[in-house]
This record gives sequence, structure tokens and C-alpha cells, in this order.
Amino acid sequence: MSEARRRGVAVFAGLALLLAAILLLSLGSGAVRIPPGRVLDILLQGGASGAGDPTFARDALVVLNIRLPRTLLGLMVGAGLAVSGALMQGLFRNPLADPALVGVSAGAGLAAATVIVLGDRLLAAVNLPGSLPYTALPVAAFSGGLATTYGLYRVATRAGRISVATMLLAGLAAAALAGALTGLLVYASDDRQLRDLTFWSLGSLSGATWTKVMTSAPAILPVLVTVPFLGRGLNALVLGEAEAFHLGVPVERLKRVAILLVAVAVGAGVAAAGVIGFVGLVVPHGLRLLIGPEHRRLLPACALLGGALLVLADVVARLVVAPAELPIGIVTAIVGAPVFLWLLLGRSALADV
Amino acid sequence: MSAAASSPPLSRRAVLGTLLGFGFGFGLAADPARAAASAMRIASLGGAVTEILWRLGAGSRIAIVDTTSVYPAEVLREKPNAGYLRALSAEGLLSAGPDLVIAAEGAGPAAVLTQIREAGIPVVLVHEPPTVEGVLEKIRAVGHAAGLDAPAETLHRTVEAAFAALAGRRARIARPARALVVLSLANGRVMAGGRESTADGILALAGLRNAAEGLTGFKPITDEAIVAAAPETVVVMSNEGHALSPDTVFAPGTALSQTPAAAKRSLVAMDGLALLGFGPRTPETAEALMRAVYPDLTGE
Amino acid sequence: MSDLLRAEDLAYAVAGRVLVEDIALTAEPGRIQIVVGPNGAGKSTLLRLLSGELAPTSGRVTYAGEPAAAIPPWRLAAMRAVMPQALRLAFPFSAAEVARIGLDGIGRGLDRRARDAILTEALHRADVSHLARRSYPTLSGGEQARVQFARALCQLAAGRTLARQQVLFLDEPTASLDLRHQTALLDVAADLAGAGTAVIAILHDLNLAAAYADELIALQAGRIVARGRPETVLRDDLVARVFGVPWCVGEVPEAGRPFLLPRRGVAVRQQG
Repeated sequence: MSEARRRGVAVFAGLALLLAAILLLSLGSGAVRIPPGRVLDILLQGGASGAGDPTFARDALVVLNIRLPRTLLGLMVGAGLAVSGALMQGLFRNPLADPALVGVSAGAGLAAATVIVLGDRLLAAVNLPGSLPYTALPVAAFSGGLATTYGLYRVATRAGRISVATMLLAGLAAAALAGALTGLLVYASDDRQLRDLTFWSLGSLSGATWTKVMTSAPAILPVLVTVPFLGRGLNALVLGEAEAFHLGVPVERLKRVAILLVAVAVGAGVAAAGVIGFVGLVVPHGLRLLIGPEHRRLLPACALLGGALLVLADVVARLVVAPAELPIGIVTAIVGAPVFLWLLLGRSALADV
Repeated sequence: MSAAASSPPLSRRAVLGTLLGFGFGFGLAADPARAAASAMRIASLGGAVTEILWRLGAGSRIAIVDTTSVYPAEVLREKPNAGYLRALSAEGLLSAGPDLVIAAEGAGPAAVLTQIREAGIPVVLVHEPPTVEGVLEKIRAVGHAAGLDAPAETLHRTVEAAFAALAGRRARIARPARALVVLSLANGRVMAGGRESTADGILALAGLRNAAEGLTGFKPITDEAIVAAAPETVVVMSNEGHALSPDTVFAPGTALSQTPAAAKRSLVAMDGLALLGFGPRTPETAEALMRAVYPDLTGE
Repeated sequence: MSDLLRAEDLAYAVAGRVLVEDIALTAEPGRIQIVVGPNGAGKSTLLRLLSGELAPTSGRVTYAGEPAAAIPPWRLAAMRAVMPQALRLAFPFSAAEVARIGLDGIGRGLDRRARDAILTEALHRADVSHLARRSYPTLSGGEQARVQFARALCQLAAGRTLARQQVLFLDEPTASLDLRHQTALLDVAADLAGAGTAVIAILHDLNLAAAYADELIALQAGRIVARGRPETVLRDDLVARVFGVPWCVGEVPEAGRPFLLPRRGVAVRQQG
């Protein structure tokens, strides 16, 4: 047992180092070439020392106003997605569950498609000129995600008890319905809106601003902060709801809290960066193979690795076709899917899952 | 005025944004006109914008383009590419070191344009209605933004004259033929250009009647609707010289094979950007289309 | 001092179908009560009502005089532990981790050494020490059942720091165990009873039930049809009526055919 503990400590130290390295990599790389020394200088002194040198001012702006908020947003969204994935898998007692099951992504996607395709027409209908502010998309995506989750939650709740099986099935139905309605909107869209929809559904951290960081933080941080307190209950819940109750876990409250945290965090993540797949599935899965399924270790580890991997994926996304950039969802899926398969094939222990 | 110096629409957005609880900060927009005179490195985003800059002799000042800027190919092949017009990267654009961004309306994401402005680089957005006036105003707007008002006036006059000549020829068409613009023909499904599309605009200029008048925008059209539309000619896109052949388009058994166009094997293939881009080449393109469909008009 | 666990006029119906009714039952420290009955008699439902998992349609369940429904889950968890029927896990927890879940919540007040000691002791008593690091999903059904027993033992040991008197519920604990482990498990339960725990178990094997029960409770169609010392309950007419077999208590089979009866407290301990 002490060996497992030592292994846990080693894994956490490794993850923290990996995260630190990736954060520095993310702040130090991009289409604009800035020497590492100057990046550090800018970060440590806020860019004050280089006043007078115009390239220094530009570099400071790139590091502080483009790369830093983008890195922080990636860190939060990645950590939020991975932790939410692990929470959902524990809650549904199914290692294949992912945050999309509570309907957030489906609802957010439909709301976003509505804004992209109908936004300006809706605005015209109420006699407002011009086009919707670009905050309309994240606000709509966030609200749409939460509203869908709330609807599913109501459908799955009978006499004060949430049936996770009903929620899962209703989630599939909701996703199908949202998919069909999004299809209708795709039909009604013009060429440009169609491309907007496609790009949005592939996710991107492009356009990350401090405002986005600040507005996403209150939604994503709660799940990260609460996580240490949920591990024990989730461990018990893995045995079954009745067993968890026998062990003194307030099961219904735990389910409600977990669903709420996941809906808010994933909703905010989708609102800020579009749909990013595979992080919520692959990260908890890989870590379970590395450090075991014990949630008190797994959940914080997911936060570290999820954040690190999404930031890394973003570095790849913005470097491979620089000065253009790939949608980040493409990178996470291209890397995530083979890794997932490799994990599945490499461990026969998973065969009976 | 079609050059929208960013402030008015954006301050309105800022107000709406604040109402929604997202107080995005604006107000760093520099005066584009003042920056323009010295702009030596231009980020040119949008196929027509780039084409106009090139026609104004500013091709060498273009520092970076987007994926829709494909003409003239030999000039643009060497330029860095910032990706799709609506999925730009702030750092990617900045890495080209531009001192001015001229972008077709709709470039984005908006937050990226904000970041560019925060870097002190003026961003000029150009409107793009698919009309004669739209093309002419676009020439002036791009020229003004780049500090090339005089060459822009010259180009404006040239293009205006070409449009006028085109209108003169168009007036001689007794009965406009019905034409169908086929954007793609995937797995037998036809994607056609309906009303309010750029295809509709170019057909009007070429003196043709859009057979797909029941559609709005680019949409898949059913087999029955194709037969009912009864186009007398079909226009397809060519891409770097490759285009659909009449044998493919009018393959036996397809809906298109049952149209008057099939009987005459009337198929026109035209470069996609030239056809739908609405830039300085539009009068020539419209004229070429007109000549292809009405060969008799050429005997002038 | 009110009774450790008391059920009065207990009934439970779902969708108009009565599953158990008219149940009165008192658990006493040191006593082993074993519930027997055919499939569908309502044995598991009764256990779920008594453990506070289900709320009765009528009647009430009280722990030390307090209605079970009014006791917060964490306090109830210190007063009783439940060993469920076969339990499969979707995640590769190790056997020790599964057992430890039993003391994570209630044992929060204990220091790490005390918790480790409880875990080691529980694994040993359930005879799963040698499986501690194995992945639970790869264990056999019987091994998994013993790990669940170890978990219940952990919960009781940790709960003892909060509650003076406890109830242990066992739902068919011997169903997938070999003979040696059947008696070993029930011996541990008897030891716990000897130390003051009330034990309520469901068993299908009437011989085991007769060997270990202080009180045997026969359930049929949701009602208690007989209760008392095993020798007073296990009679030919009851076996025929409740279980539907014309078997005779204490009858030796025809000459030459062997039969085997369990004996308490003699399971040989062997590792491996």
C-alpha cells in the first residue's frame, strides 16, 4: 500500500512537471518568434523593462494578451473537461461515459447553431440593426447547455431520486433531437454560416481574451475546487447507489452536485472554445491505467493532465499550419482516438469492461 | 461609404456586450486613414480585397493573405496564409508584421480582430454586396484604406465602364435564357445557387434568368425541381482548369439529362472565384458567360 | 435504552403489489437472526427496509428509538453495515481499495495507522489478505464476495468509534462461497455477535441457517410464517408448506448415500 502511495506521489510530481513544461512551451511558442529569455522577461516584469523598443512592446502584447489568456483558457477548459469526464464515468459507473451524456454539448451546440444561422435574422425581427455581439454565441451556448441538462435532470428525477440510466437514455434522445434541429439549421444556413458551424463544432482556443478567461473561470473553477471532496463519495458510488447509501454517502445530493458542476463546467468550456472531443474520455481512461481508479487520486490527476494535454494540443494546432491554425478538436481527436485504441488493445484487463 | 472604420459598429457591439454582462473593451482603434499612407505591409483578407490590391499595384505590399485569396495565383503562392477568413489567429496575423489589416466583412473571430487592434494595427472591414455598386464601392474602399485613392479612381472608372458596356450588350438580349448554377454535384445530388446568392448576382449581370428561383442561397435541389426549373444552360465551377464534363453532368437517367440544357448540351464551366467573387474581374466574367450562352451577340 | 433496531407493522408495496407486510422484528446485541424463505418471499426487500435503504409504505423502522428515515446517512452508516449480494465493478479497483471504501467515510476521524490496522484485520478475517493487490474485476465470484465482507467488516470497525451498538446485515453471503469459506464467514459473523453485534442474515441453506441462527425467521409471501429457535421452526410441515418439498427434518438418506452437514467453528485456515 505504501508502494501505491509512493507511486501516486511520483505520478503527481510527474504530472505537475509535465504541466509546468507544457505551460512554458505554450507561452514560448507561436507564429511570432520571441526568444525564450524575452518571454521570461515579459512574464516576470510584465513587459515594463523594454519600454521604448517597439518590437518589445509587440512581443509583450503577444505574450501577455494573446498567449497567456489562451494558455490559461486551455488549461481551465482541458482540466474542466477531463475532471467532468471522470465525474460522469463514476456517476454512471461506466468507463465510456463522457460529459456529453448530460446533454450539455447537444444543447450548447443547438443554441450555438441557432445564433450562427438565425442570429441576425432574429435581431432584424425585433427591429435592431446590425449583427449580434460576439458574446451572444458563448452566452447562448452556455445557457443552451444548462437548459438541456436541467431538462434531462427533470425527466430522470422521480420522487426525488435521479435515475442515471434514464438520464443516459434521455441524453441520447436529446442529442439525437438536437442533432436533427441543428441539421435543419444547417439546411437553412448559407455558405458562410455553414463554415462557421463547422469550425465551431471543431473547437478552437483562438480569440481567447482576458475577458473570456475571467468569464469562464467562475464556471469552471468550482468543479476543480470541489473535486477533492467528491472522490470518497464517488468511490462508494462505484459500488452501487444502495451500497453508497449504506456507507453513509448522501447519494442524491452527490448526484445533483456532480451533474450541476459538470453541466456548468462543460457548458462554459464549450461556450469558450467550442466542442472539443476526446479529452473527457481519454484522460481519465489513461490515468486509470496509470494510477488506478481511486477517485481521490484520479480526479486531481485528471485536472493536471487534462489541462496539460489541451494546452499541448493547442500548441500543435497553432504551429503546424502557422500562421494559420487548425481547429483544436481535430488535434485532440487525431491524437486522442489512436491513443484510446492503443490503451484498449494494450490492456486485456479492460476486455471485461 | 463602404469602408467601415471599426468604431461605429463595434461600439454598438460593446454596448450590447455590456448589457449581456460581457464588458469587452474597445476603443483602441487607430485612425485607419492616417496609418494607411505609410502602410507597407498589408494583411489582405478576402479574395476580392486581395485582387483589388493587386490591381492597384500593391501586390508587393501584401504581407499575408487568407485561404479565399487565390487570384492571381502566381503572386499569392509565395505569401504566408493566415487560414480561413472566419477562423483567423491573432498571433498568426501578427507574425507577418502587418501595419494594416484590410478584411472582407465577416472576417473573424471578432475577438481576434480586437486583439489585432489592441496591438495598435488598424483593421478596415470592407462590405461585400454582390452587385455592381458593391464591386465599385469595394474598389474605392480598399484603395482608400491602402492610401491608393488615385489608382483606385482609375480602376473604378475602368470597371465602371466595363459594367456599362456589359449593360449595353445585355440590353440587346431579347429573351433571357434560364440558367442553373451548379456549385457541386456530389453523388447525384445537385447543389444549386438560388436567390440572394452570388450565383444569382452574376447570372443577372450576364443577362440570364436564374432557373433556381425557388431556392434561397446555395441549397440542394431535388430532381423534380430541376426538371421544373427547365434550365436552358448549366453553369459549373472549374478549379485550376478542372471541371465537370457534359457527359457527367447530363449523364443518362439524371434529372439534369431531362432539361432543355441537356438537349443542347449547353454547359459552361467558369473559374469559381471569378464567377462568385465579385471583384474587378466580374464584368469580364459576366461577359464571358454571356458570350458562352448567347454566341450570336458577339457579331458586333 | 431503546432497542438497537426495531421494526413495527412493517409493510412495503410497489405499484399496488405488496412485497412484505405485517412484520415486527427486534434486533438484539449478540443475537444472530437468519431469514429463510423461497424465492420472492420478500427477504431482500425486508433487509432493505431494515437497513433504511427503502422507506416502508407503512409501519416504521427505528434505530435506538430514532426513525431510520430521520437519521442522516453518515450516522446510520456507523450503526449498521450491509454486505450485498454479488457485486460487479466497472473499474479495476484493487481488492484492498474496495475493502477500504468501507472505512473511508466513517473512519475519517481515525489516524492513518488506525485505518491501516482496521483494513489489515478485515482483510485477514475475510481471508482475502493474499488478494489485496489483485484487481477486483478479475477475482472469482466467491473471492469478490469475501472482499465485500471485508468491506462490511471495515465499516463496522470504523463505525465502532461512533456507535456503541451495531447491526450487520448479510444478504445471501454464502451464495458463491466454497464450503470452507461458508463456515469461515459465518464463524466471523458469530464472533462479531459474541462481541455484541446484532447479525441479520438471509440464507438459502437451511442446514447452515440451523447451525448458526439464534432465531430463525421463515418468510413466505411477504409475511413471517414462523420464527424461533431453529429446532422449533424447522419442522416437516413447515418445510413442506413454505418451501414446497416433502423433505423430512433429520431423516437419513437411503442406505449408502452420503450426506454432509456443516459444523460451526471448525473451518481450517489455509492460505492460497
